[in-house]
Amino acid sequence: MESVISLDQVSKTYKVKQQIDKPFWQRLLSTKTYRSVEAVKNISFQVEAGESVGLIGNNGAGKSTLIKMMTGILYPNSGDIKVLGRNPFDERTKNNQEIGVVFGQRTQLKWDLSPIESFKLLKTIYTIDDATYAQNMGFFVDLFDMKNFISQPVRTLSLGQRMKCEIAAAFLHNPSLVFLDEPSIGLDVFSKEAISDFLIEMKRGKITIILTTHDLEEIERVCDRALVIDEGQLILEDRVDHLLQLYNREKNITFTLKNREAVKIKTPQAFDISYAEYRIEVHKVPGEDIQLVTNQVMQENQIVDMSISGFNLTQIIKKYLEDRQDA
Amino acid sequence: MRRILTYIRVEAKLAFISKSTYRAATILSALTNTFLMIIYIYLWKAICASSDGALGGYDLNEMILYILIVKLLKPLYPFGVSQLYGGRVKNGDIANYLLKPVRMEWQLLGNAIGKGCYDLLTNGGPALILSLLFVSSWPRVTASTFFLLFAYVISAYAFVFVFELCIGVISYYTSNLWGVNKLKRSVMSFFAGELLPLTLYPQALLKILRILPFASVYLVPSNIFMGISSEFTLVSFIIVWLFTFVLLTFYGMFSHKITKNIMVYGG
Repeated sequence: MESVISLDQVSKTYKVKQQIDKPFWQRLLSTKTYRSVEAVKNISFQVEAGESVGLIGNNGAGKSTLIKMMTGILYPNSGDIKVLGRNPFDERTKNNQEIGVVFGQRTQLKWDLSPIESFKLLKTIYTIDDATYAQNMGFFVDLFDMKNFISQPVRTLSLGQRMKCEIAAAFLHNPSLVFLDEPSIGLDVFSKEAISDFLIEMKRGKITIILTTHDLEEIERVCDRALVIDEGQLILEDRVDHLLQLYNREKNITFTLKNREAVKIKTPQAFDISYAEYRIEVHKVPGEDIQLVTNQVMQENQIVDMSISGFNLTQIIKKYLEDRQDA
Repeated sequence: MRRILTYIRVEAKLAFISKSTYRAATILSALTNTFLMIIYIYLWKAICASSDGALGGYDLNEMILYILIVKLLKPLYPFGVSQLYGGRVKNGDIANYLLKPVRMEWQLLGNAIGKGCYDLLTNGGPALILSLLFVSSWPRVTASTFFLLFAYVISAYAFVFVFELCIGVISYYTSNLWGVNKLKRSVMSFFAGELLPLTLYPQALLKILRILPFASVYLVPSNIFMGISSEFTLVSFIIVWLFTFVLLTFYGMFSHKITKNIMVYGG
């Protein structure tokens, strides 16, 4: 498969001005001091056409810097980047025709005008033909239920409504690659779900998606692959389904009992079991032992409910980062 | 090219509509400008009454015309471009504009044209009324005068736009353009003769100003409208385009170099 994005040993260092804790007149006379911040350190990875990749990391991990380098806004200090076969900085204008970008904390819509006016402007910018524009607009309006607010000034829209318009704007010109930098930041559950559903729908159209978000459930739903970045370094790169499988070999089983006093069970292996009133929890049970544990509990207790839970992506990444820190 | 022209037209239209959404601000702005024009007119009336004859080669009628032309031209010129540019660099919104398949400069131009047209319309009404009240005799304006005026205003517009881009790009270094903009406004106001015609300046200074492009912003168009032409009119046309190309080259080189080191603030 052809690589849409290819990064080879890419690094980016910023110079950040240091605030001087001195009186005003002393600050005027003193020379400025700068501190170097290594935002991205020797990162290499590739993204294939049609893939959806989630960038995961804490605040300041370097995700946004990475996106800005891939979109050609920032120039790397070292390393090589190719996006759609081109150097994204030198051929930014050309690449921009084929990519869509959403920055969750910024707006590309005209603040005083309605979203529809901004969409018309984008039609001109990307030279979208009338038929494609009408078809895409119809599709987005239906999918995002935008009919009610598409003619309102952007400044009067709620964050969720605005973000739906921002995302529609990024996809309007049928881009082959879309970067979404925290598109669901500050949104309620319904808006988040609508955006995830939209991205899943767009994935079917073979669009390559790069998504950064702190909501790992969104990455679990939308992305095929996850890249974890910590302090500017790529520390984990794996398929989402593989990560879930890998970390879900053991399950936690919770039994809700009819009897108040939980009767202790005997198992061949020593499981991590906790007993409480009307409740037994068995932790880290391998898949093949679930039946055995369930039988044992049922023999001694009266069960009214039970649940088997595994790790979701949030817990997996948290556990991975904690284990890494301990190591 | 056609695509860029269409883009500029659409951007200008949207900027015009955007400005028109703030009606109260428009009315207040028009009122403020009307008051300012009246103040200037009475100020010059008083000055002319206390002097023996023409001031800097202008009689009272020509001076009033000069004031009105300056007040009409000022909002038309793209003086807000550097502030807009600097603001986008400061708050990081520059990222969105760098991610479009057309250069941000065309967006700024379209935006400036739209806003300029709106301000020209809103200021034009009061200026027209005041001119009917205070201008005693009108110069003979022919089609060639209009053509010449159009050519000179376009030239000055191009110069101001490129000059503003050069100021705006400094924001990559300074982050905040507040001080630079204050200086720019003062320089432009002084050298271009916003408050009084350059011919009232000392001769030594006037000689310097004649080789700078600022005179083409207000003085030359006003003189063309009033039928006061000299050999300087042609020279100023060459000077303004010369400076525009030099500044454009500087901007092109500087912006390419600086964008390799830019930071986009705020995540």
